[in-house]
Amino acid sequence: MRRGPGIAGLQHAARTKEQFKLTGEEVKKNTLQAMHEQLAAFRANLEEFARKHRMDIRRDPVFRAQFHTMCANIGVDPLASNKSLWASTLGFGDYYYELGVQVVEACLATRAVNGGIMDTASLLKYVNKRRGSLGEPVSEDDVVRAIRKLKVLGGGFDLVTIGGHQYVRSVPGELNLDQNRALEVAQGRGYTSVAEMCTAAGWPVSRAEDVLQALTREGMAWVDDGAPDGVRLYWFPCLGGGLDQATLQN
Amino acid sequence: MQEAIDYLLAFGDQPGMDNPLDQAPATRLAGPSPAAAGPWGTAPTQLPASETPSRFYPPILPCSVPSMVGNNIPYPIGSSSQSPYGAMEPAGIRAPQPQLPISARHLSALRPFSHQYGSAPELVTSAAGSPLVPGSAAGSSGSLDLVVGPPRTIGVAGIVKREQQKTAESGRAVEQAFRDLSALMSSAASMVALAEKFRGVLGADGGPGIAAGAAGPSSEDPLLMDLETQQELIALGISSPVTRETAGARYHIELSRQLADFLATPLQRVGGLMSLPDVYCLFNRARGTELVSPDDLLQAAKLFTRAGVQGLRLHPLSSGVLVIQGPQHSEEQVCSKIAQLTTPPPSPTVKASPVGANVFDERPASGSGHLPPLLGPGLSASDVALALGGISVAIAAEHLLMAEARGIVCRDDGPEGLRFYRNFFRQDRLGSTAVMG
Repeated sequence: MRRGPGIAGLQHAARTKEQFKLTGEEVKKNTLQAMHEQLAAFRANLEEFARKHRMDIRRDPVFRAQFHTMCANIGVDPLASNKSLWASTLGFGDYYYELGVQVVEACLATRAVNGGIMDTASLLKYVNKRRGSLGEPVSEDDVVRAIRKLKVLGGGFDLVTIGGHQYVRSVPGELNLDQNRALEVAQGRGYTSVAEMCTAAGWPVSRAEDVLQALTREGMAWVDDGAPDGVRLYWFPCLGGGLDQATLQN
Repeated sequence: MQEAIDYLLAFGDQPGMDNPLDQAPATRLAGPSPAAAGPWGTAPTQLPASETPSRFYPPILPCSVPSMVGNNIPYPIGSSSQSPYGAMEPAGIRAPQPQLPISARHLSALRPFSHQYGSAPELVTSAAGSPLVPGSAAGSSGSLDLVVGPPRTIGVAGIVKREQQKTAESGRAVEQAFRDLSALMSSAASMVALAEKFRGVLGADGGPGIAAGAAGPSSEDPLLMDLETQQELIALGISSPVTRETAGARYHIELSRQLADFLATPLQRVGGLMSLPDVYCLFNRARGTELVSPDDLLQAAKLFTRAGVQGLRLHPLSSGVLVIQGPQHSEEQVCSKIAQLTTPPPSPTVKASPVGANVFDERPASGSGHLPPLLGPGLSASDVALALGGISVAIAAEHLLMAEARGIVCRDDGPEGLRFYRNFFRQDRLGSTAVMG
């Protein structure tokens, strides 16, 4: 606006500013009103959806996964709170939190054997066994989501990818690159030796020894001195396969 | 001829006999099959069971209804499970069919319909013969129909059609569900966009408005509405750290009070320190229903002071683990306990070497004037966990690290794991020269 000279100009400027502020308030109020209305409409929409598809969401893991992907796409977290709109209308919050508890228990139970890293397939089997025939079997996607929620608790729960497979880590402390590489090499047969590490990863003997000993210290590797040719083997129960089965059956 | 007569006697009064080429709803067999279960093997009027399949086995006949051919659906429950003949090929009997239509129609005209329900057992058993040859005339399989159904869909083709209908329906339902889902998501997306824009605007306005101390209803209103809007946004699940922490929803405050009440006993048991995943498991197990999400738990734990809870505190440990610390926990107590565990037993003789004592003991006494003090037992995290009354190993490891930071223990990092010994460097006043010598 044109600023006139003198006091009149100042007053004029003040008045225009006042008016702008008022209009701004008005716009804000209107937008807020609109948002409230939209929220109410959305809530109605959601309840309608829940009424029709509540059972579908509970029964069909594919539909559930789709639902979660779409929520993630728009930036909404349906599992954030059990009191949220989503959980109360669709009612699957309890399912995921219960699953979270079972995942934690499964990890704790097997920590002595696998040192805190567990193969997702074994975890799935363990959880399904625990659940028995309570309800529908749990899909891997559900377990992954439950673990992602558990990450907030800060106990080290996280998903790690080693050599293309996914594992659940339940202890704090990252795996460094070398350890990761060692687990990758061992994934083939479930065990490895210093010599194999040297050839597969191209490391000097000291480095391979260091890594394998570090993994043993962490509890992830088990030392086997009974191989026929006397070479010390390092077994990894955490990589899944037959080793975990034996413990799970006990 | 005789078998034709038998057949007619058996099935004559059943509906659908008029039109054997119609498709029979063989699911109607489910009704009478429990009744048919028993006498199946003993059908007096029917040909001997073993002979039936072989007799009626010419695979394809020109009069067979196309939909019945190549049907792989196992025959309905009662029949197939209780059939003494095992699974039957669908393209079974056709042989007597051509003879049926005319005479059957006559017979059905004669016999009253009421024979349907509670038919004589023979009828049922002989009718039971028909599912053994599922490809048989539509009329014959319809003979087991003790429930009146649409005369159109009977027989195996009926099953096929029913299955198709079911799949089509479920497919439609799924499509509908996905359409609903997309519609819901699009409305949610627009909501979220609006909310984001609004939050940005409000945040920008509310801040300077308050900071500048521009009192007046206009600057307070944004804050109030902001709070309410924030509550609504939380209810929607829109993730934003600012929203949740500052809002301090009543739900979370209530939850933190509940949590404090609940944790009194377990914390007592473990000595005052419990990691958050353990708290999560215990709390949810105790609740049974209406579980709390991990985010809710974290928020509740953060709000202890705001909720007026005495003594409990959320505390991040050095390794990143979050623990809830109770009033029973004191670091001095833990350190003194660990120090006690690492002190060597009071036997200074060389011969009686205690467990874990190292090479110091074995040095000949004649060499130097005095024996160096014994090292004492080495502790691992699990030893400490046991000694401190059954706390978790992770917490015990944290205690050891904390004791090490205070100089009470020193670590021994070997190929068999991490062990902690008493800090003999300090306690035995070992200077660098003593260590070298």
